[in-house]
Amino acid sequence: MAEPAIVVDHLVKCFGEVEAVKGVSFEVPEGRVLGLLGPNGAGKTTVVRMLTTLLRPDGGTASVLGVDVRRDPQAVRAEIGLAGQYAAVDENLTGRENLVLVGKLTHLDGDEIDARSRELLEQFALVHAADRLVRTYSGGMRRRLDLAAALVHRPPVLFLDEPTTGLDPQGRNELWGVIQALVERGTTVLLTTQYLEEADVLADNIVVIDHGSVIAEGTSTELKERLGATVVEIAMRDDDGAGRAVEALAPVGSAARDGKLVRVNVPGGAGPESMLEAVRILDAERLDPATMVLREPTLDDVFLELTGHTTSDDDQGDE
Amino acid sequence: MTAVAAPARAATRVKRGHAGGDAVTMAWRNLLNIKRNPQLLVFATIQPVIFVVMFRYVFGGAIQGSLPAGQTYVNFLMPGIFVQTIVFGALTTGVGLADDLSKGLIDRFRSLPMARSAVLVGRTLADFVRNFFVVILMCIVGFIVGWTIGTNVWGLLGAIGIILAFSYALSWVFAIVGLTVKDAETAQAVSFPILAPLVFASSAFVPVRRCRRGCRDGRAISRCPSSWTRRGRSPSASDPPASTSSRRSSGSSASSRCARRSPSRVTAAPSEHSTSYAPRPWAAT
Repeated sequence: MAEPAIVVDHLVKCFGEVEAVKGVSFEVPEGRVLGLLGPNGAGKTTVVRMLTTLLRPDGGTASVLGVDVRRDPQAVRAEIGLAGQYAAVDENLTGRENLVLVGKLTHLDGDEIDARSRELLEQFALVHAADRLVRTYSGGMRRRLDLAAALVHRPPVLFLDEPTTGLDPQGRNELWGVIQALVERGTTVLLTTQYLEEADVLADNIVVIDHGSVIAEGTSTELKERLGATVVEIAMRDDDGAGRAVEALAPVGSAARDGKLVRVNVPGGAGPESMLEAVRILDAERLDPATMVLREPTLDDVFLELTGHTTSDDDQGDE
Repeated sequence: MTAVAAPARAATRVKRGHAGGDAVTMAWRNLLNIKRNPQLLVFATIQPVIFVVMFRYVFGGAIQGSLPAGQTYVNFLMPGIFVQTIVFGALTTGVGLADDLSKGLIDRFRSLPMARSAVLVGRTLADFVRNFFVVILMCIVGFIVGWTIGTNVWGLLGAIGIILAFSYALSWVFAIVGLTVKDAETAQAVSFPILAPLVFASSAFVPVRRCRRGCRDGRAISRCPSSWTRRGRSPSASDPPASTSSRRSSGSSASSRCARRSPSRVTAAPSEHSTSYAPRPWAAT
């Protein structure tokens, strides 16, 4: 295995009384993509802010390419690029000027700044809008420019904090393509997301965090395998029916309920058989489902299994 | 699993810059912002122009009566207008920083290997340049409505220098406000109640004596904050010994507190103590 580009060891951060990050540890090998997955307020952004030297950790250590973020933050900053959920670009500058600004602030030579800006504008399909003010850009264009700005000084390590939040599906697909192209060129990426699909598509490894702690770690496949090969999803007509269905379906697999939705995780390769069995049980119990689906497990199922709640219905108490 | 600390592999690919160079880059960025948003500059300038015109032509007639003979209201008003413009202009430093903070731009800057001071220095430098042009514009407006220079060009340049130095200092005060609050709107809302009394409860637009008259018989202690500096001179306005003594001792050590005021007023308004006017509003801010 390649040497880790990012090492996080028992990292802790408190905001007043609230412990936002409670001893998180993980590693990202060079050239790989780690997806930090969790609902709002799980502490993902706080971890990224500590790794990008915007926040000082209260405990534990973190290093990027072997440089401790606390001991030499300026050296860390030279190695990283950060693109966030806010698309931190200056609206009153043109796309090109935004890139030049970052080039100047990272102390590239004048010629190199010009060349690099042109290169990035091409790579991110922004050439036609290069000399337009950013406030005229669409959301997707802003995100692409934000990502381009993070890459001006060719950082070997890239942090993407919810890069596609708020984008429409097309913008999201475009950005995914761009990120995949970067990874192919050997950039190490740490990506936070609440979209399970996004982690599934982009990340080699996934760390699931909830309430400031790591609750699961592994590849997308590994996480899915924990749950079995297939999921039978049954939408009942009311909560009461869903409750009775969960009890009745226990012989089929591990059943859990989220409102009217019942999910049964089926171990092994017994997909269609378990579907038939479920139908028989429901029929015997005189339960009347609205819909029934047999499908591959998603990371949403992982989350429900691990935390007892889905990513969407989390209480957003902290932060 | 993380016991072995990897050796530092970070090559020093990125040159370390100078704090000064970074500050200039940031000032460039902020000036471009001003240039791209000329309406902000225009509206920031229209307000003091309205004040000039309004006070000069609407209130000027009423206030003129309380000015000493020979002094025109526009000459009294203009220094106050300069200070008002600068004070309210300083607000934009805070508003701009709060805006950058809320939009995540400061996070971007802080994640770059640049001098951290440059965010603040660049912002205040750009605002300094902006203030320079605003002051020049206000001079022109003043000249149009009849403002005259009583001293010479060096005096004027000196005064502009003091105003700009004051504006730069004030920019840093409002930088703190901008960094403390959440967004630009809050920065604006927080700053105004601080600024308005400083500017208006002073001798910037109205001679202090007018405030004093509002207090009964001119014998009550003045409630005008800006006249507190003069309260030490206990004799009230109508107290004859005070006026004679100040007249007698004009220029002597006994009236050292009055030294910076115009001696001509002693003869112009003999029944008043000689130091009623402070047409230097920044003394009050």
